[in-house]
Amino acid sequence: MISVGYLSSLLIELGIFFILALGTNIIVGLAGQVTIAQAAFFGLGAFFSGIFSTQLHINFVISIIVIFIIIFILGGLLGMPSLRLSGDYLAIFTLGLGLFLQDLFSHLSIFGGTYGIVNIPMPTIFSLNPLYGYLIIVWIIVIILAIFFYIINKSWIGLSLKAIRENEMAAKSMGINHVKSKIFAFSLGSAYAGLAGALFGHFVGIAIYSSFGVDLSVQALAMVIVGGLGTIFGSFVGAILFIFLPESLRFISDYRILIYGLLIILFMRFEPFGLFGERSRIYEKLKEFFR
Amino acid sequence: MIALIQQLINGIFIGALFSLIALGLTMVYGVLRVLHFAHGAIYMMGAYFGYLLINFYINNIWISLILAGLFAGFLGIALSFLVYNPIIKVKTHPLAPLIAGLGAYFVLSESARIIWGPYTRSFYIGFPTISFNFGLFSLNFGQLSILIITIIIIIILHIFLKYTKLGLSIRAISQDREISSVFGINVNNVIYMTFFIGSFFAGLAGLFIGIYYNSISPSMGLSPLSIAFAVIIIGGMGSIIGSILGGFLLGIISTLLYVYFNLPLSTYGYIFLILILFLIFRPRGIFGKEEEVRA
Repeated sequence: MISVGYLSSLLIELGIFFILALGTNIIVGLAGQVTIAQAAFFGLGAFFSGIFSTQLHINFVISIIVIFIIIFILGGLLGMPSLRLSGDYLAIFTLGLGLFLQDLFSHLSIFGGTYGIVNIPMPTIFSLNPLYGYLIIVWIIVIILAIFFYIINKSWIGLSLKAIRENEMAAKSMGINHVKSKIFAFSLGSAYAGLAGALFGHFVGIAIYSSFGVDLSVQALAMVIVGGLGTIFGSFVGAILFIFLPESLRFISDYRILIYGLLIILFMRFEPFGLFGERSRIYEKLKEFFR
Repeated sequence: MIALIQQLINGIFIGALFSLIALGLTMVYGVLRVLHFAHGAIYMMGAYFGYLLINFYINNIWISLILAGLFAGFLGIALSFLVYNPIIKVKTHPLAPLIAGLGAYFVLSESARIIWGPYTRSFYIGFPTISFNFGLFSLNFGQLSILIITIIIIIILHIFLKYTKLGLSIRAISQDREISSVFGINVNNVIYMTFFIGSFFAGLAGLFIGIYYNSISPSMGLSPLSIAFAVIIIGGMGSIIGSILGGFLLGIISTLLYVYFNLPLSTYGYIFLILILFLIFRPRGIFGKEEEVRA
């Protein structure tokens, strides 16, 4: 029998990783770039939420809005040099960035050094039990961000990103500013990851450098590749698969990252758009079947 | 002055190892146009295989080095056969092989963690603790032998690429894959050979570093991998001479910066800063071609 408390903490985690998957999907699914720095931005968000709440005592709502904006700008500034170049460069750069920021987290005293920042409070609303109140807060934010993803996807920004993904040369010749669009996608995707990290920091109460390693970035990448590239539903499925599966099958928990790696290889070979991606064959078959 | 020369020598020593790892990446990038992310895992597997041989089976560093290199080489062939070739053949997405390589990195490093445990392990036999004093600087036996072997390998590789038929085919495929296959080069075989050679060096470098620092762990491949990527960007993507010089340059500059500046950064942090500067001001690197870089 699953207790209500356990279920709500699982649902909070699901919401947080859904946001992370949405952000990764903006960069990988819509813009067609590879990022291995999502864990670093996730970590930055968690550290900022820790600093804002335990040291500066800023209100939760203001704090997460500020974090979103800071990481949006930071992502753009950091991504700019490599986004001017071809896709391979961003992969190399984000790998280096992820390791570099993790190194910085463990050295700088503002981030608590190797001990991290502890005692980050969990906010609540309607004077509910913090777990239930926080569950509602997280899912309100999830819905706002999912709607925002939908708007971006349908707007001309989403269209130009997809045009760049399909054929960069053709998109350029149609007058799309490919560098600006890619930087925007990278900033927004990083900001989503940062916000997810901020929510994660408030949820677990601690931000420490060792939780934000490259394996988390690979998990983010695997979520969208398996779930589906370029769709909200794909990100949701990815988050469900990667949160509930390790929880329900405890014995595979130790083999988690091994399985993510295998899934990434297999999906890249057989279904590169994921289970419920924009052009995935499985999804098309299902739609045909239920018509 | 003497301290400066000693640091310079240390930088050259580190740089030689950077070049050794980056050479494999450059050769694979040349023939496949793929960033080989699983290279770091091959480096780690070479170190583990050598560790098993040295501690439990052979007890001889030099034979183990060669066997570990061979093992890493065959692992490289297996990777290209199982992961890269099938994905490149179906041509799904230009970045698909890169992402799959990243997946392969984690499959290998997690396998090592599950089989041999997450903790660092040490060698029962190390390099002899002899120190050679050259007046202005001194080197211990490990440093000296690694430096000499790496330089010999680089020279042999240069001769191999320049004067043998296989080397010629590797260079031809790097320039144009389709036209080389029209001229009768068996592209697949050459790709396997390239993976073999590159992975051989990676395994060798992994075991070298493992013995020298007397510690190996499943996650040891990640930072050399990203440093090697920095080397091939700085040297110029796909340029062999670029990755040799880039390795030495990065080793020397990062060591000197680390010693003479007091920023709260590790050597790794400096390497990353140099990488950013190159991306901003000279993204094609020292020997790269302009047209391949711009998006």
